[in-house]
Amino acid sequence: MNHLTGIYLFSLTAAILSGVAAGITGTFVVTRRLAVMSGGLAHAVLGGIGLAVFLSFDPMWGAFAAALLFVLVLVFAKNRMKEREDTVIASLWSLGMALGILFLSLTPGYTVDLISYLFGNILIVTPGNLWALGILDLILTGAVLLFRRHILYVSFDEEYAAMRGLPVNLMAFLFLAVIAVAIVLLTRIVGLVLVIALLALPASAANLFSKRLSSMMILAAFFAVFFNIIGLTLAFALNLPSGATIIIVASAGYGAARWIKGLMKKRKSPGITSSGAR
Amino acid sequence: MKKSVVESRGVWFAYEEEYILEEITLSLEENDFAALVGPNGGGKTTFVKLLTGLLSPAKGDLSVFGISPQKAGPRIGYVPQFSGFDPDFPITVLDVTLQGIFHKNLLGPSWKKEYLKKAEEIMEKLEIVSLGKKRFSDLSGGQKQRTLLARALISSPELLILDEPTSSVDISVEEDIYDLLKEMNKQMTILLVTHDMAFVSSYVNKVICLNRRSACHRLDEVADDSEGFSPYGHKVTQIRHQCGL
Ligand SMILES: Nc1ncnc2c1ncn2[C@@H]1O[C@H](COP(=O)(O)OP(=O)(O)OP(=O)(O)O)[C@@H](O)[C@H]1O
Ligand SMILES: [Mg+2]
Repeated sequence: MNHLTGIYLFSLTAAILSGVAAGITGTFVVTRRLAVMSGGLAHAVLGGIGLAVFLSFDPMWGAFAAALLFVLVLVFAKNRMKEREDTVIASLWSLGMALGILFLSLTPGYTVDLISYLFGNILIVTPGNLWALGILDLILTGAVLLFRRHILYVSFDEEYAAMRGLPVNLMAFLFLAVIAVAIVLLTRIVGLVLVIALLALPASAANLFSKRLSSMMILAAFFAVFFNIIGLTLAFALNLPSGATIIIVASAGYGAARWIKGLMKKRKSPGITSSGAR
Repeated sequence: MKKSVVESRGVWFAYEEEYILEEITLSLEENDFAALVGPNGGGKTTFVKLLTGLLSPAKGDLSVFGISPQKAGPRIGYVPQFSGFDPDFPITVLDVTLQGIFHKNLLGPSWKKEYLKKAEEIMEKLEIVSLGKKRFSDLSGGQKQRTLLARALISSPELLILDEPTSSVDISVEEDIYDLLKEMNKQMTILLVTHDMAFVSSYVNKVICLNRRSACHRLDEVADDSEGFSPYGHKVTQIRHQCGL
């Protein structure tokens, strides 16, 4: 096996593992309308990465710490101080990036790192990252199977779930925490600028064809894995940046899904004009 | 004496600084069918959210079945005025209906048979059985409201709270729904938020007016010296008058 094939197979594993996580957490992001929050979080994580690099820690830990801090500050500012959520997100988003750029610029050789953090680089994925993704996939799948009614009903109607005695605030926080962890791990593959598309596009495409939350998750995971594999293969074959290629494929995939949905609708209600114009 | 279901004594509530509800004192007894009326912004929905435990009073005592509304939650059925949920959420009509009793069947691979049977019974009564497998977001406004009513009724609640449940149902269905509620009223207390006093007056036995402060009237106690012509019409006008509607 030559060197390039080795890298390709390694990347392919990363693509599959991250697709599963992206499909499940992406479904949370889309149904709970957290796309803007997730985008903000992904960017703000750069602050933690910068600080960790500056202090020569593993940047992964910096990223996790920043993501957790983001969630805590957001929940606190929204619930306790009654701040507007979008304002808090926008501020944390910029502040995180500013801190990240500051710390990275204080570290020698920062340009290389900055680009790969922003746009992803499958070559910086470590075996440790793969293990982490695999464990996240297992935990997500297990939790979704075990708590599927909790998840369904808290997502659909939080008020009614609260009336029936579910701990909705705790669950809302857990949703955010899971999304934060997934984002940090996924930024390795597609970068923090692009990660939100990997969460939102497959899940939105899946929502077009699903009657149930469970089928939306399965389909979203399938789409995400599919987009990842196609994107990665194209990137290898044509020597393109992997993160960007994956996102372009995902966008095209979403467009195709919309188009197919449109065709299906037309076939279902044939000729409104022909039967109406009698 | 009949058992008390809702007991509100001097309840105050504010979202921000300004009080929306002041000194609300009222009670509902077993098998009451009460109408809650009042002008827009009078605090009806807010009071309903206090009863369902979604909000808590700033001052005063509020109990449902003699316990706190939060604890009483599972025994209440509720049809909200505005559904806060995502119009694009992937869920079937059957699964929405089952949300009324999902707390009894949280874990486990599939729904217990008895709950599925209950769902079918109630969906049949509301004529939505054939929609069971449809996606909720694909329904018409009236079909959605009937589904939400099914969700509220499936648990055979002891207290049923409806916040303007028939605002997008056509008139013939509206009458059917009220007849169904009248029948259900034998087993449960009902609190109905409505603007259509003239229509519901033949169904209810109590009218509560809410405009920041509350006033409670029993329909049969309203003074009517002009016995003989349009028994309810007159009372309704009088209640409207007393409520400042
Ligand atoms: N979440 C909220 N935050 C702040 N103020 C609120 C909130 N919800 C309602 N209000 C205010 O509380 C007051 C009462 O509102 P509520 O919805 O209880 O009235 P309502 O009687 O149900 O009116 P309608 O007949 O229009 O349904 C209104 O002045 C409204 O502006
Ligand atoms: Mg209201």
